[in-house]
Amino acid sequence: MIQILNVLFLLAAPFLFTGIINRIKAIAAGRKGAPLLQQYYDFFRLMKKSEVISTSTSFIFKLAPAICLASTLFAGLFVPIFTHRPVLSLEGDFIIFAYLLAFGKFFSIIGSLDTASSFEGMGCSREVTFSALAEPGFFMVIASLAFLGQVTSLSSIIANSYINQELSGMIALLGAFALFILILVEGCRIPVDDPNTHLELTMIHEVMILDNSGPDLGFILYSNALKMLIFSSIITNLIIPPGLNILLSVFIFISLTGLIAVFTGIIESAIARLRMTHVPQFIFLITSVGLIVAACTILFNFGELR
Amino acid sequence: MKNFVIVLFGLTMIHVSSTSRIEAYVKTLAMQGILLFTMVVVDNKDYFGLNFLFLVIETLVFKAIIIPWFLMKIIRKNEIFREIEPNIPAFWSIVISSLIFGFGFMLSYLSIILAQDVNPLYFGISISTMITGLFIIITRKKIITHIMGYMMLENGIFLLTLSLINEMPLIVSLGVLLDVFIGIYLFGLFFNKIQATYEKTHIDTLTYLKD
Repeated sequence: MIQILNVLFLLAAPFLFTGIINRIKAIAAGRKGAPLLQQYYDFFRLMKKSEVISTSTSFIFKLAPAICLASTLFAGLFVPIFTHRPVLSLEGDFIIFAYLLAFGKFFSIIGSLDTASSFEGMGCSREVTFSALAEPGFFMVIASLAFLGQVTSLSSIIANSYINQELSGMIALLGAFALFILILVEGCRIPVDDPNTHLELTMIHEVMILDNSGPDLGFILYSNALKMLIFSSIITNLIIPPGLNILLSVFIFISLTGLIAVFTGIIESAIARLRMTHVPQFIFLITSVGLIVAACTILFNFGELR
Repeated sequence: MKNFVIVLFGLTMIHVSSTSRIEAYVKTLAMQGILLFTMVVVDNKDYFGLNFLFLVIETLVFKAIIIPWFLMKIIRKNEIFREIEPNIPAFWSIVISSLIFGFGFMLSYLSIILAQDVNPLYFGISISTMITGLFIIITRKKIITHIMGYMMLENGIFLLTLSLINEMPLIVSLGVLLDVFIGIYLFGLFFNKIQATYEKTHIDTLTYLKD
């Protein structure tokens, strides 16, 4: 039952998440803002359109957005949504999770390289650099949480690190902080990349999808929003203690997810986009925080903190 | 609570090695003073002694208020608003300081095996704070960043004494305070002289000093 709800939530909620972010940005800028459901209207409008495909592309270009969306959805099935029980779970699945996301990203990259546009090649180069910097940080955080609970599946790792005592609470909060930076990186949000920009010098993700149109563009937007929702559910479940009443747990989950969206919106309206040369050091913060998380867990397990 | 505070202290050092604004350094120094004050309050058992009063004055009044205020005043007076100009790219700066943190934690892991009554988290973070402070002194070009790196090194030493001895003797805190006082005093003198003579607050000017 809860698994069906999980899948429905994954399918339905992503655009609501980005809709909340956009609304918060609009309010902070003194505008009224688009309706919360605007992104759904855009998505269905894109679905009805036909597409224009460049003559220089091959079948990869047509395949890439669908593969990207499929692998992101598949990765989402490993993530616990409302309670600590995901749809799929097996030993060591946090590695599958990370590589499914990387697989989707790989296809979106070769899809845009396929257009043979040097401008899109530049965007791909940036995207690859930044995700390569973000990946060790993600593994550092998740692996040290796994070490803390001595378990290896993503859902039990998350279930084991709630705020029950000082140390695991601290580790969960630090992990949540690192994963929040990861949301900004993976979702191409403001300190790293501006989703609204069309200035050539600063585009990262937007430049890769310039040639896509119609349903393909819809798929890419959808998988991008889905990725943000997935990481925000990991953060939320790090904070919720397991074993709560299902209704209460669902309620806390939804309100925390909304809070994360609001917080992302506030961050986006409060700080400016970083200069391109400063982005790598911002992303490397994930690894630095992950290092501290790892040290805390190791010190905790070997020579209990005094 | 105190583990949380000490981890926050470590995060401030990572922030310092990644940021490039000179005012962020001063704010971080004030923040570190407040964190040290929290640590002293949480750690202490005797809330009425002279020692405790002294520690509170040292951390809250000196480290968190007077020194940052003084540094801010010098920055405003000498109009040093530009970025801190590290010798190496900022990305490598944060990579190296992360490596320093790894090294510090390795040392603290060894310290658990060797000495039983050392708090490993305190020890690791204080060692890495000291080395990061030195690293900041080495890689930044402006004189004012040098003195701030020195202050961070001093905070690391303060933390180290907290990790080794549970209750800090009065004479140790006097020593720490004297160090800080002389550092700031000399710096103020030195700085105003240089400002009067050269109009530039860069260590490159110092390499061309002649009689």
